Amino acid sequence: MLGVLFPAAIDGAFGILSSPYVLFAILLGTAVGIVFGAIPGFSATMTIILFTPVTIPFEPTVALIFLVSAYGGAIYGGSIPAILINTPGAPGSIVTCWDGYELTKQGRAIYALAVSAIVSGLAGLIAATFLLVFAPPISDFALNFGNPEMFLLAVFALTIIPAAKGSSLSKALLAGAFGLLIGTIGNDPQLAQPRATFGQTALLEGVDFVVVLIGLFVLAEVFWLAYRGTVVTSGSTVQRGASEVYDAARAVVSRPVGFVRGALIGTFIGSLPGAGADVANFVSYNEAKRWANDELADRFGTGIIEGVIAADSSNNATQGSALIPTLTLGIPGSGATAALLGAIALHGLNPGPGLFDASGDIVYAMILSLFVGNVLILVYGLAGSQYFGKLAYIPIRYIIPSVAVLAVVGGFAVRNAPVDLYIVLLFGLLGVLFVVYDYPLVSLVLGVILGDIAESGFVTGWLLTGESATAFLFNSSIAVGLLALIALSLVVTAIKN
Amino acid sequence: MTRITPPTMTMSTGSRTLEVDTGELLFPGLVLAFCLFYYWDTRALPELSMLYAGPLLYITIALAVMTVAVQAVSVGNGNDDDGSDDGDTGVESAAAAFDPDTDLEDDGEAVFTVRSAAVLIALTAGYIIALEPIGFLATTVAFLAATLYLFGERNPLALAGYSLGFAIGVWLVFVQWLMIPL
Repeated sequence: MLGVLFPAAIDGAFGILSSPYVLFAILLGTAVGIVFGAIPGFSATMTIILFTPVTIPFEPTVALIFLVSAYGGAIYGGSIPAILINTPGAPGSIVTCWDGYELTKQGRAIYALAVSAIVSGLAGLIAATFLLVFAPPISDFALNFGNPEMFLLAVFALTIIPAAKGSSLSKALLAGAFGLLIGTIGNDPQLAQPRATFGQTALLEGVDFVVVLIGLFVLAEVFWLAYRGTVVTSGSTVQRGASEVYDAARAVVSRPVGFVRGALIGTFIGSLPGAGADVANFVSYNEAKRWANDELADRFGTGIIEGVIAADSSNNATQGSALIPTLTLGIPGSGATAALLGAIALHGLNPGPGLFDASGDIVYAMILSLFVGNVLILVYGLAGSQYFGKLAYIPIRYIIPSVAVLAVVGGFAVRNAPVDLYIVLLFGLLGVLFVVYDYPLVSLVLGVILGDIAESGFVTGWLLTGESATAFLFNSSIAVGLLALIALSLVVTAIKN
Repeated sequence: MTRITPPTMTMSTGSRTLEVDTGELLFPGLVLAFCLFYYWDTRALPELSMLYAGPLLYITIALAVMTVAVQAVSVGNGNDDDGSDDGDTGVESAAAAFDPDTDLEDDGEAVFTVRSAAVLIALTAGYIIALEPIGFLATTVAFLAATLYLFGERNPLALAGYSLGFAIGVWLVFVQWLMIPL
C-alpha cells in the first residue's frame, strides 16, 4: 500500500527498522536524549554533537537513528526540570516553566509532567507526518537543481537567516561569508592547491564542520554557562498517583484546539531557518494567550494546563519539520539539525539534494524512526519523568568541567587531528563573541557547511555556462526563482532593520 | 552579580564626535585579519583555484568594512544602542533572558562571573596545549580538579574522586573502546 505513495526506498527503510540493533538504537537514543535534555544546560544540539563521535564505530543506520532519537528525546527532556524545579533544561523549554512550575508548587507535578509527555509525543508524531509527506516531493524537485542553482540555493540559505531571525543584515551576511571562506580552507577542488592551511596537513582536507559545531555550540556554551551559572533551587514535594496521569490524558483530549495549534506552530517555525524549539515555545504560548478569552488569558502563568500544552506541543513539533530542509536540500536551519547533518556527513553519506536518491533507505528509516521515537517519548515520559527529574539537581559546577572535557575529546575524535583542538577552542571563543555582539551563530555554521556545495556549484556552473554571468544567473526558471527569493529576503531584512 | 556588560568602550576622536564602539570592531577586525592572511597565502595560486574563493574573499572584506561602518561607528550624540536586542530570539539570547540573578540565593560568594568564565577559557586553552606533551589522563584530571575548584567545589574527596572517575570513564570510552589515540 505504502509503495503506491512512496518510492521503493521505503521498503528498504522498513527492513532497516526491523533490525533489532536499530530498534535498540531508538530505545536507547530516546532515553539518552531525555536524560541529557533533562540536565540543565544540555540542549538537544549539545546532546547530538557530543554523542556524534561516540557513534563513529557504528553502522550509519544505527548511528544516525540513535542520534535522531536522542534529538527528539532531548527536546522533551528539557521540559522535565522546567516543570520540577523551574529550570529549563534547554532554551526550548523556558516557557514550560511559567505554568509547569506553578503546577508543581500546587503539588501537581505529575499531572504537568504527564501532560508534557503526552503533548510532546503526539506533537512529534504530527510533525513527523508532515516530514514524511513533504520531504519526498521536495527532494524530487531538488533533483532538478543544476550547479548554478546549488550555488544560488546556498546564497539564499544565508540571506534568509537574517530575514527569519530579524538579526542585523550586515552582521548575518558577514558571519555567513566568513563561514564560506572558512569552508574554502584546504585543497581547492579544481587543482588541489592548498589555501590558507597554516601549514597543517590535516587542514588540506579542509576544516571539518563537526569540529566547528563543537566549538560554537558546546565549548562556547560552557564558557557562557560559567558566567551565567544556574538557577537550581531546592526540590519540592511531588504528589504521585495514577489519577494524575488519567487527569493529564483528559486535560489534553479536552483541549484539542490548544494542542493542535501548538503542534502546527511548532511545525511551521521548525521549518524556518534560524528558528527552532527556542522560538516556537514563545510564539505558541503567546498565540495560546491571544486566542484565549480574557478570563483565561489573565490566568496564564499562574499554573494552568493550557500553558504547558502550548509550550510543549510546539517545541517537540519543531524536530520533524526542521528535518525537511535538512534532509531534502542539505540546509539545516538550526544548531540541532546542523549537528545532525554533521553526523550524516561523518558517516559517509552525502548531504544535499541527492541524499534521498543515493541513500533513500537510510533517510526514510530515520524519518520512520521518529514515529517510534515519539511514541517512546510518551511512554518514557509517563512512566519515568519523575526519575529523570533527579538529573536536574546535578550541580552546574560538575557540568561545566565535564562538558569542556567532552568537547575537547570529541573535537579530537572526529579525525584524530591535534590541530582540530585549537579550532574547537577558537570557535568556542568566537561563539562567545557572537553571542555578546548578537551575530547569528547559524549563519556562520551554515557558511562552513555550505562551503563545498557553493564552491563546486559556482565553479562548475560558471565553466559550464561559458563564464557568462547572465547565463549563470538565468540558467533555468529555478535559478530565476532563487534569485527572486534572495532579493526578497534581502529587502525584507533591510525593511526590518 | 550584575547583568552582562560586554567589554565595550566608546571613544571620541577629532573635533567632531565620532564614536567608535571598540567591542563591535572585534569580529570584523578578526575577519579582516584572516582575510589578509588568506590573501597573502593564496596570492600565488592559479586563477582556477581562486575562481570562487577570490571573489568571496573580496565580498567578505567588503562586508567586514560595511559591518564596521554600520555597527561600530556612529556620528553625533552618544547613542550607542545599536539595536542589539529587539526581536532577538536566538538560543543564547533566550537563555540570557533567563536571568540567573533571581534564584542564586544560597551561594554566598558569586561563583559565576565574567572572571570565572575568563579563567575557564584560560584553563581550557592550557588543557589543550598540555594534552599532547603531557598525556590525556594527567591533564584531564588536573583540568577537571582545577575547574571544579574554580566553580566552588571545596570537598577534597569530591574533587579527587570526580576528577579521577570522570577522566578514567572518558579514557575507557574513547581510548579503550573507540580507539581514539588521545
